[in-house]
Amino acid sequence: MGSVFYVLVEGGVRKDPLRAAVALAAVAFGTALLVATHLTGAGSAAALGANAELGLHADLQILQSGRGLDERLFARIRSLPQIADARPILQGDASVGARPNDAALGDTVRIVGVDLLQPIGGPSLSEGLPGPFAARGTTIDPALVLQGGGAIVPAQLAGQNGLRVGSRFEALALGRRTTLTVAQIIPQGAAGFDSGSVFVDIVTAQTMFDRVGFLDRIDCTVEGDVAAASARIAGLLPPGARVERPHAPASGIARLAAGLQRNFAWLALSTLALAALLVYDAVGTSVRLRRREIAIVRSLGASRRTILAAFLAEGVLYGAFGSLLGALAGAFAAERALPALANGLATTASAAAGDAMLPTIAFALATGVFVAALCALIPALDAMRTPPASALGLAANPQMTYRSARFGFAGLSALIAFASDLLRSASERSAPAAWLAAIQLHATRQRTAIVLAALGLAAANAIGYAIATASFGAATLAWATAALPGDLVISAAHLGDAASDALPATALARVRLVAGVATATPARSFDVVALGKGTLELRGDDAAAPHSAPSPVPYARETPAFVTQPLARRMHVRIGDRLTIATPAGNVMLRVAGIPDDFERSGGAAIVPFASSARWFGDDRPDTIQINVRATAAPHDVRSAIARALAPLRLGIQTTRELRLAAIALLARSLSVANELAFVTLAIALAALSATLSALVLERRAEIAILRYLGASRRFVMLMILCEAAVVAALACALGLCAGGGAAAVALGAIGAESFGRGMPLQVPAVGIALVLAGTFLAGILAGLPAARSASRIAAGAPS
Amino acid sequence: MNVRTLNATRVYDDGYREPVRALDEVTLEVQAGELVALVGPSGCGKSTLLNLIGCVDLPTSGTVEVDGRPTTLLDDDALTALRRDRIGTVFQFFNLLPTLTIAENVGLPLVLQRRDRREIYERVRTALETVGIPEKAESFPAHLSGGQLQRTAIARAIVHEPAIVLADEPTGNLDTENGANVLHLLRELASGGQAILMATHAPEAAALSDRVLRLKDGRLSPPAP
Repeated sequence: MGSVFYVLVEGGVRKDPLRAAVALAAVAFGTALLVATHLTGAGSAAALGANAELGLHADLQILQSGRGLDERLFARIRSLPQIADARPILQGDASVGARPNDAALGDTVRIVGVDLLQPIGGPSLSEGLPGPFAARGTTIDPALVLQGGGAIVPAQLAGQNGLRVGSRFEALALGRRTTLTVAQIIPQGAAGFDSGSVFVDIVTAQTMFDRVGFLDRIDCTVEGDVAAASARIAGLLPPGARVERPHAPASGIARLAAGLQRNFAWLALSTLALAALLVYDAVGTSVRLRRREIAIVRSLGASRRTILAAFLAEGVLYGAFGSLLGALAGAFAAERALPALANGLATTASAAAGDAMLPTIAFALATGVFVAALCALIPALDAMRTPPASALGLAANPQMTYRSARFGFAGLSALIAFASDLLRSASERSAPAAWLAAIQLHATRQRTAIVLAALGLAAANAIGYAIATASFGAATLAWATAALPGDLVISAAHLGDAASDALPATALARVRLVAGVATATPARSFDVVALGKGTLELRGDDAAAPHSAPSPVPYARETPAFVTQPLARRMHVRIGDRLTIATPAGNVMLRVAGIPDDFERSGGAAIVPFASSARWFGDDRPDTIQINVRATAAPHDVRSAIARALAPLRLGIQTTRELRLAAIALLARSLSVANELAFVTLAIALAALSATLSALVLERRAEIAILRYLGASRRFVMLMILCEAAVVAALACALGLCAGGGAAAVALGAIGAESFGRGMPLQVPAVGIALVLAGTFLAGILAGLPAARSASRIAAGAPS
Repeated sequence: MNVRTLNATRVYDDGYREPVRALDEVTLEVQAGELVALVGPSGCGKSTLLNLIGCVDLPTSGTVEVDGRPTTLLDDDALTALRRDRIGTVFQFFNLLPTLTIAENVGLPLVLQRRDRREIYERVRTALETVGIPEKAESFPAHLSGGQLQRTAIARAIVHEPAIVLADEPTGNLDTENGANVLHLLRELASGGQAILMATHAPEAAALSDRVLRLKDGRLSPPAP
């Protein structure tokens, strides 16, 4: 079989090396995407999910009111089989540095005590910290961290206080000064890190806040059923402790991240489909070019099985070499891309990548070989059926195609025939080059159908991604605005103290008096029963509620409410419908005034003015206060001032503006990576178009020489080939628009339904899509340029 | 006169082997209404001479004039235009485009000249009638016999009223009967005023010609006394 392979396959590849290279590149790229998306998936999700409230990428949190959890509980929780990972956390506020206008007090920062031997959501400390640290191979001295009061500080704080690695600074908490040493600096904009947080070892934090032997919280990552794990943990807890799911914002962004990950996987699969087409085309071309040799070899006694094996081996080789190249490239790309994507949280992704590397590469290799072998099967079967006698009599005939070319591409062949007939009619009088191009396209439509499929698929990919990018972008903005509103958000819920799940009623007034605060908007959630409908979350939130417009009599007791999408679907309500809820003040009728999107709460909520909920429940304490800072004030200064104004209350303060911008930027980076990859797919398909046109020119040498002899100029011949390229490119654009738009609508609907209980709103970027189409069309014509130039160089002459 | 060569010489020198003097100072003329046969053994330079006159190649020295225009002074575009407008060619193996109908094949020179559609239709019809196969206009080459294919090629060669028709072994791929029919057709065209230069091995072709030019080793033999 070896010599038959050499005669039949190697010669075919040598005759058309560009096509072979394109097929190999497509397999490699598809495999690389498969590997890279799988390895970066966990990283992206982790990067998006980690935020200032460290634990919000956990599955469960254990909290206790009062002094906190006994730290001895930690070891018991960690030893549970369902618990994959457990992290102890203790937090408090401290003052750092001295500012000119606050000489005594300086910046208020959140001191977050964690187990720094477990890095922040990632592999061991000895491998370095996230992002740039890992990239530079920087490590932190554990001794410094554990014994020297080491602290990991945000770049902004370091900049304001002139701190560098190794600098010592003092933090004032509970009237005592503690000297800390900068062990590392978190880069600015590192996704998920509030720039007001300083990380120290848990023992340091316990000492600083006089809580030795206690924890605020234990964050747990669960393996398997979360509800079952929660029940198991609850059985171990002392009175007053509770286990619960983390606060909602993480779930929204986690769902967005998961949806984004599915988009990446989709891109990988569609690129593999493109690769499949190009392998099919490459092996098919090989069969066609070697038809005479196949007949000779058969007439000399080679069996059909030998012929089949030879061409099948060609496909397997494309698959093997391509997927090996691609798997290595994908793993390399994942390692390099993660720091840029996560901008500081590559350790999380690196951990996931390290564990998944070998299985992912093995899977990718197997997939690449299998897909390529499968696609080579049809042309290989066709080659096997070549009868020796009839094949020997064949002259070189550009129209001759293998039977299997008709298989599966009949529709596209018909489309090319239709388009070429249209062009022929339109150009008969005035454009002879286009007229001849149309005739040639019609004659070679079966061959061209394959590359049309490839280019159409790539165009559909690019357009689908343009729509997905716009839609995800809009969804991210909506989520970020809802989940991370304003510039600062104050809450009490994250501190784990059941008695102070809400802030004092006086907190709002005190916050409003703080210089730099433009607006302070309270909010509070209650669980209520809607009569005949079930339970729901009622949220009093002036920032999100409809304005209380006076309602016409006789509905004076009716209160307008926004019912978010998930709740509206669950309770089957529409705008104008009414819900009656039971409150301590009696039954209250809500009128559905609007049904906004809700990426934050999977169950949705009914939103009313804060004053209304306070009146119904006799409780005017907010659980969060959303603060917008004056344009002339800095959020950090205002944050410090608020902490001082509300002292000695223990608060959770999120610099939501930073987190919101960081999350949006991270998703934008991820989406732009996907778009760039989609364009690489388009480039591969365009290379395939170029290869096909070049091969067709080669086969039509004799005809082109006759045309030249009859008086067609070189320019005429070039124009003819470019017309063919233009028709294929135009058809691919049309196919891509329909398929890409349709696929995006279906995929976003499915992703949205799975992630948020309903389809994601579709955003169609008309300008972006127009640019993709125009670019694809022009690039398609350019792809025909090498073939056109080659054709123009064919000398006039009579073929002998 | 339609075509004239004056001491046309063509030397092939690829730099590796001995230069080959394919044509050596050939001087000839072909007038309108003449059927001139060019005979000689294989490799004597017949095809080289036809290529020079057909504006596909240029002489190494000497001149070739087509319709009064010296070809050595023309660039590639001008040669192409001359070939398109003033020369018709009939090949041994027909060289019709398989994807075009007979009418489209015949009309191709006029299409390349960007003639009006109506004019193309009329002239193609006339040409097909002249060669005797008007009923085959909408057929494809694959459906025609060898004789019919060569008639189509002749129609294509004359449809644009060229200064000269070059026929390279026009009967070489035909049986005796079809070959005779094609020769008679060429004779009629010449009698009608068309200048035709025909390279041929066939003795009967020479018999129907007005003049016979003999080529040997690239040189024209003097006419027999």
